[in-house]
Amino acid sequence: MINKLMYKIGGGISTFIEGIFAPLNILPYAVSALVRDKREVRKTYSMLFYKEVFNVGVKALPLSLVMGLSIGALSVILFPFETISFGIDNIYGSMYVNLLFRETAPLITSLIVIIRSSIGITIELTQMSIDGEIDTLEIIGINPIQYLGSFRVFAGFLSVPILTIYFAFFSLISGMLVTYSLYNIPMNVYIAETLDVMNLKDFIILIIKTVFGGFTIFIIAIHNGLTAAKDRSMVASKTIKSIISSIFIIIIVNLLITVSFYASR
Amino acid sequence: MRQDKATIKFENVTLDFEKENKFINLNLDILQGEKVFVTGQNDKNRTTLLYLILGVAKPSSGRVIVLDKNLKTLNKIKLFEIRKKIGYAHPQRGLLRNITVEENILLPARFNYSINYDFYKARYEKIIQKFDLSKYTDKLGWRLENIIEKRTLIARSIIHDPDILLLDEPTTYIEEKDKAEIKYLIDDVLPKEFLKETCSTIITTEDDDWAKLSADKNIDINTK
Repeated sequence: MINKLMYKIGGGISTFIEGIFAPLNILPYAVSALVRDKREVRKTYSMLFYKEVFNVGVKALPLSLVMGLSIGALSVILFPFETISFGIDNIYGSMYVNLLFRETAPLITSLIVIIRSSIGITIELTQMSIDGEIDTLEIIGINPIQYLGSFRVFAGFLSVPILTIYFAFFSLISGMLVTYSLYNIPMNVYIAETLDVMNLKDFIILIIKTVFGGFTIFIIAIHNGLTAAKDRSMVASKTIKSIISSIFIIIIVNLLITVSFYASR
Repeated sequence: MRQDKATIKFENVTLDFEKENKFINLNLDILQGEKVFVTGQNDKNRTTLLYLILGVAKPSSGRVIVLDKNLKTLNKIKLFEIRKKIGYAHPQRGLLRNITVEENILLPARFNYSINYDFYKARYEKIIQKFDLSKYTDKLGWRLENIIEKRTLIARSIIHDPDILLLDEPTTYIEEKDKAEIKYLIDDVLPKEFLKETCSTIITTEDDDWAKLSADKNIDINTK
């Protein structure tokens, strides 16, 4: 009786750990395929990779631009600069760096990628699982993670940080324009204040957050898609699971990174 | 060079599936270059025999040895390596739906780094010409007529010059008039133009007459 119980608990734990680490297999595949592609002058993998970078990154630029401009402008319009200054001298630069650059930019960009790409990938892969296309790949000796997953994770790895910087740049521009028109703060002063507050550490932490974000979003989407059972209801359930898990993990990890790097100040 | 060496060995293989004995103590040797037909009433059992060779189905007892490897002892990555040396043509719906015929045919060769790039590009050109697929290379997998799909499936199974070729029900799901064309491709075109002398071919079919006419060896699963 106790043996059976222990066996069940042990089995459960090992399945859980395997489930967490299985998606990490994607990374070595991605690296080795890109290197081999390059070495053997093939375009197999690189072609899929560039296509995905286009889908994840380039196609998301308009949405990222609009979000960056509107959030940058709104943050200046809504913040009561005249009444609250927290005793900070350069309140405009502090607000941009602390609120938009460090926190909002990685979070909003991750949400944009979840809405645009994560949902699409989960639905596509779940549908392929249901139609037996994943089984087909396995039967002809192609690891589905290699063919469908690895280049996507790599594309996310590259695209999300770039999209975040793009978002941060346009929120800076719109914040600068609105500050000038509402409070008559010269643009060069706004930029100088921002650069005065921002340092290399902020930039590095932004990159860490976004690289982790890109990696997590795509791994979760691919893992959910590839592990779907052959049942139509899986499309909805796996997509919802993908979205919720991604958002939850991104928020928690962003919070943890912020607390661990900035809370001691 | 063709030898009397077994590429596939079944040693006392028993398979219980869904509370049913599919095979009991099956012993079988398939030699290099041999053309084997698997016949019998139950199409699922015929396909299961191929699944045992591919390692998709695991025997309840006994050993399946493919290209000198006991499939039971292989992990997933090593199993993929073995499958890369096997060509498999599905009975139907075996293409990826949202990629073109060209991409589907090249699929087994694309991630197979043991094949020379120039070799498979040249082989692809020859295949689409002999299989009369030139007009369809840009069509997506889900838009094909049954006979074109069938030809594409067979083309995909040979693109990487396999050591073992498994053709699962190649004459089903197509019209009567097209069956002769597929048989001609399998009996004449493949061995002469595309398969190496040592490649073992296993074909599942319900067509006993074709099996009697073309087989080096016939396995009737009703008697197994």
